[in-house]
Amino acid sequence: MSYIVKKPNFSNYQFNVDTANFTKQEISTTIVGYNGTEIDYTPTSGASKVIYEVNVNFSWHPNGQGGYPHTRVQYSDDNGASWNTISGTEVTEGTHSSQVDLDHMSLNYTFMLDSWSESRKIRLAGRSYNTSSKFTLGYQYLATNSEGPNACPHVSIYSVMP
Amino acid sequence: MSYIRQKEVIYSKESNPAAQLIPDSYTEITGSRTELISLNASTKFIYRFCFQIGLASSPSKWFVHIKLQSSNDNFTSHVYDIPGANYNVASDTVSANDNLYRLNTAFFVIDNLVGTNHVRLVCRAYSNSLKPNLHESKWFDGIYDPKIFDPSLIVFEV
Repeated sequence: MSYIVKKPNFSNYQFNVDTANFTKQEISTTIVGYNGTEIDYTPTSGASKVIYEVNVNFSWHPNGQGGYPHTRVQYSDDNGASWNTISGTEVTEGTHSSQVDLDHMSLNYTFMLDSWSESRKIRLAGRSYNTSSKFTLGYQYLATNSEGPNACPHVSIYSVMP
Repeated sequence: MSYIRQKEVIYSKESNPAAQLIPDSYTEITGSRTELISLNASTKFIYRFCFQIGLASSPSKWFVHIKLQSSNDNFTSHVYDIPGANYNVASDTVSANDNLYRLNTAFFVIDNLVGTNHVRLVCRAYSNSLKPNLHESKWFDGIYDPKIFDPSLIVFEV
């Protein structure tokens, strides 16, 4: 028996795993782009959706009471001069406790975005809920109180053809 | 004789769903249902559904049981739990309140379905004192500003 993939299918994969340039990032109450999540992408012509997936390492550091990232997908059509939030992508993860709560988590994001034409920058951006729920992305706390290499996000993006 | 059989690829996004306060009885998670057509039991499907689990107004903790179900009549009367497709997710539940929010991805490999079936994800709280709220962040960017996360579903035949 022969097979072909029935439409819709997935095409035009791009990836960003920036091991060379990524540095851990402590995030407070100002909205900033998450290091290592930005990617330039032009969807395949005729695509109905674009799927943007990010795996990022989260830690409680520096406050010790968890951390509350308020995360969203943003895009820029002017090469990063300004950024717009895509509705329906806003999401909170993490913990916030009055007690010590030294959480580390692997945050796995899947966003199904409406497609667009032309090239566009895409990134994750966010801030903490307040100054006591700050968090750090890419921070590796290892055995014997040592700090490991920074853990960069793994990013993929691809088009969905109808 | 050789012939071409097309593989199934399904994708969907539920835009701006209502928040779901999950009780202690099984409840369908909005956006998780789809139809699958399979020619034989050996056909495998990858099912991946991404949705948010968070806090209800009270209490600040939750414990949820999640499982995948199938039906050959679109859940009218014939409803089956798919063996092995179930898991728990919880915040701290004993003494501390850790006020947990998580994006959760249900990932299953499905086989042993023949013909036309529907599948869906259902969940319930462990008890009425540990109910989660789905799809919603009530507080965002430092203020009370409810935001809805759009759940997404991808299913494909392998």
